[in-house]
Amino acid sequence: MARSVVIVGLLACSGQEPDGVLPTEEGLRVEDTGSSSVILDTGPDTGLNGDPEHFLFLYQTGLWEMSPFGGPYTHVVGEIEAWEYLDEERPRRDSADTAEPDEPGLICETTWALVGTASEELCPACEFAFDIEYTLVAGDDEPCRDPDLPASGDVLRFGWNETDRVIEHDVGGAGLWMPWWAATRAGDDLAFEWSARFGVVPEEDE
Amino acid sequence: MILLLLACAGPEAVEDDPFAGEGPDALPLPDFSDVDLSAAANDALRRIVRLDTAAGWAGLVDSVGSRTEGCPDLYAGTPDGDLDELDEDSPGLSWSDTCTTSAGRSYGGYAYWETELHHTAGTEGRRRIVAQAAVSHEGELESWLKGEAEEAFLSSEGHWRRNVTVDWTVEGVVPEGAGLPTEGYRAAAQLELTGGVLEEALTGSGNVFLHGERIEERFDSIEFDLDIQGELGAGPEDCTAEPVGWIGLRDPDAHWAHIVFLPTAGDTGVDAACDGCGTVFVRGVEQDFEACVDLDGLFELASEPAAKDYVLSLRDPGSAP
Amino acid sequence: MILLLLSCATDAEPALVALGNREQLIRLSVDLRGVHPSEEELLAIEADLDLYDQYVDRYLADPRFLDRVEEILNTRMLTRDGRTYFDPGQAGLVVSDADVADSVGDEPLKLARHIVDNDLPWSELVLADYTMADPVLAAMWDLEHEGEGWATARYRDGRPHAGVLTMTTTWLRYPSAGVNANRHRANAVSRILLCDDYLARPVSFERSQIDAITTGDPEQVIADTPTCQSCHSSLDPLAAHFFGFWWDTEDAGLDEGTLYRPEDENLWRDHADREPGFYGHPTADIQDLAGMIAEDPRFADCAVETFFEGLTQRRTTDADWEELALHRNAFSESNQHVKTLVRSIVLSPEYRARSTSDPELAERLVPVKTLGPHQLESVVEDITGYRWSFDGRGISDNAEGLAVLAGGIDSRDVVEGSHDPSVGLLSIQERLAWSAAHHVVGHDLDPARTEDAILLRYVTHETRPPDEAFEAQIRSLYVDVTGLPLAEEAREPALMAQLWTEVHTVNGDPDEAWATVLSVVLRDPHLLFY
Repeated sequence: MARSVVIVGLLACSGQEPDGVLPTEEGLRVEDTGSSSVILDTGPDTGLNGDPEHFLFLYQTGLWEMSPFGGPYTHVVGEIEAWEYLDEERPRRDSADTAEPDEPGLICETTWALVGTASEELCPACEFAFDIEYTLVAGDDEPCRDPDLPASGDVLRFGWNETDRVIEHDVGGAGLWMPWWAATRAGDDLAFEWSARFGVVPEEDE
Repeated sequence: MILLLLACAGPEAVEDDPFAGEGPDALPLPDFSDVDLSAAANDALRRIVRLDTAAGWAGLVDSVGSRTEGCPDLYAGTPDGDLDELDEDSPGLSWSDTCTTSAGRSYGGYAYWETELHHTAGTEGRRRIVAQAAVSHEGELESWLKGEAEEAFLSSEGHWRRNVTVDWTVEGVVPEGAGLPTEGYRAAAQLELTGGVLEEALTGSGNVFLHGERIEERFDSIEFDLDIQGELGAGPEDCTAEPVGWIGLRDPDAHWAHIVFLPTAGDTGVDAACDGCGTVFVRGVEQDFEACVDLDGLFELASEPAAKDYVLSLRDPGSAP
Repeated sequence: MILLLLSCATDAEPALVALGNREQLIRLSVDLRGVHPSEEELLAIEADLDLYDQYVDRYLADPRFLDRVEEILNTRMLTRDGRTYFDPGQAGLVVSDADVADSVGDEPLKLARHIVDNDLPWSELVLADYTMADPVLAAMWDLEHEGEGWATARYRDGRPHAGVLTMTTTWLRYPSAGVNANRHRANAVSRILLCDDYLARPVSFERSQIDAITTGDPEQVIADTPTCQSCHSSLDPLAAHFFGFWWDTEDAGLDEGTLYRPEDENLWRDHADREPGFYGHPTADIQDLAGMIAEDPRFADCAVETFFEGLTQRRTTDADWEELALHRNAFSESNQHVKTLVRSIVLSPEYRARSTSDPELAERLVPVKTLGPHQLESVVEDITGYRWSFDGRGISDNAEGLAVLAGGIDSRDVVEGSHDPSVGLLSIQERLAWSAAHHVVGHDLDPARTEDAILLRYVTHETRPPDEAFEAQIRSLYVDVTGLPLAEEAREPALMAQLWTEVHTVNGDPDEAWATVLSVVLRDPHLLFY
């Protein structure tokens, strides 16, 4: 009943008498002015935390045969074989057999003939050095990724450091000698092997 | 008698007339009276001639030399197939990682480099860096390289030429006395610098923003387009006291001062004199004073390229078979 | 003697029929605050229309008016496009992309808010020696910033500060690369600040001139072709100011894509090779440009147009010059005080008119306006307490495409709002009404409710038509929702009673019946159109 009286009273309400004064304001909604709490991740994040997705395995094995017998050496002939595998290590072999054409991961297989003559420029710790011409005699070097692999016909200078038992390379022929291959000397022969592993981004057709 | 009609006023006229006024105000010019523009230009020249890839390269070499197994990861070629600057068959080497070595050295980002070195009649070398690499040690930044830079040289019998192209930011690796701020700098420029026993010359253009440092405590940026002929190798028509071209210097309020050099007018009929002095333009307005440079000793600051600085191989000879 | 009597016939005032008192206040409140007036206020204005002036001042002082300022400026700036431009993770932020986009898009708009809130001249939009940021934006753009909310801030990368002209958000929204040589940006400045869109100029080309652009050196062709020069003579010098922002943003990281490069300021030489200038006046840098823009009469004109169009929901035409001149005078005389400008607009007879007998004015007048998505959202929320949201985002946020559906803009592909009734708008109103009605009913008819009812103040679960309380409630709903009381003889109470009964008959649920009735009231055209 009381509610009905109130309702009737409400319905009977007419506009207030004008007095030139605005009715008081109701509480105003205040805008939320922007983010007040910001969560910052202060840890480094370059997206590069992971290991390489793909690996390139490089292998080289070679032999120098120097002449004349017993030295002082004036000539050298030899051979280097180089392999590169993508995401696979080279299978262990008893000898440096030629890989099967469909060996998994094999992307590069080359054989180079080496012919060299004695160089007048020697590394400081070297007993002798040769200017050696590389000739590609088997395989295709185009897919090979080793940045140090020469082109067929290039002449590179190497010297033998007996003390450290390394073959040193004169980079660019500019007199900058760097250890290149650890090697074993047997008489007039030098045998060497080398391997490395790098991350790699495969080309589209690999 | 005629009663004159009264004209009716139209609607209220708009008060401000857009066509009234005295024209544009004159461009307010900054006060450079407290700065020695000649000294500033000389300073800028001596920075330009030393703008090369040495500091960044040294930083890269250090970062590679400090590596440990797996930190950072090494790559043959590009470390990321999505980098616009590098193809998947890029011939160089790179590192790419976010890691810290046991010695407390932290690597973040990637750095790619290529080198070439050949010696026949003369020696030619080239090095190229593409990087976004931060290296720090125990929280202190050792190097920050971001961008791309390439430098090639040719030297023969005491004469050399160096071509530099940079578009990068370098921090942390600039040594004292290198002519550029130790806090680092950002440069986009190409230069050809010739030196040695036959000729001294510099040609180049670009700009440099200096981190932290100010030239003459005022200018934070340099832009330039210069052709400088040194005493050595100068022809009878060459002016060796003054560059051809211009240098711009910017103060932190974005006010540029340009010094325009014109040692020989040729057929232009413009006033020119080989006196080492150039016309000063402030905010593009020609001033009635000049700024002068002294090229003595400039080319002594340019260092002859050394072949050893163009080799960075990760070759580990391994162990004997 | 000829007595000539010439009556001074003033230009006849257009015969405008004013909106009713309540309607005027509703229009004013919705335009300035995005909500209806309270019933108390409506009763007061009904009794005394002279109070309108005072309500104008009251509503201009309401903080919600500043939201409207931001909305109106966004129709020019178009920065609320929902983009972050970069992965917020690069700034170390662990915040949703949508929140970052809000902050990014609001950088210039918050400057406008700051200007109006602090009674600064509108020219501060280009003269401000600072930018505006909140902590999120400060992290993204690496700004010097203090405090927890939006505040003035400064860039650290050596850039000069010139209001919106030097904001990273501005130049990410209006990028440029290659042979465009900042011309896109120059036109953005011209369109936004001077209301002069180069692309709207009636320039026609011969086919051979267009072909020459692709076969020859574009810059040389532009320089040599008079038709091209009709725009480029002023466009290129304007474009020359922005090379410090010459970013290669494609695949660029956050640093690379936002860092100001002072050393690149003069790269204009490598592009159009036109020295920086502003319509024939040489300038030396971007702060010079800002000063010239601020003094250009078109800047003030454009501000007037912007707010006029934002408040009247129509494009200005040449025929509006007389009315606009009045507002322009008020704006200029107040030293470009936006509230004074808005006051002038909302006090004008045209703004308060329902119709006119002047056929020419009738072509231009908008007698009935339509709630935009922001206003629909805020009006309904204010009435019902209900906010329709999707993952915390309302319908005015275009993440779900609803803003555009409701006639709003997305600031990128849809840049002009639609004020005409549409199926989309009505569909949204229908769904919003339905959800809001259920919200109100669920609250008001909850037997355990302790706080005041939102709308259903006179009924309970037991109320049935034809109780007196039922009709009273219906009439109260119409007042609360539309602001307009029903006429004594109105049919709505009876129709709603019938509807209520029909729905109740289906499942016997009074809640559902009241929700249905309330949703119908919330779909009344007087809510959507004002």
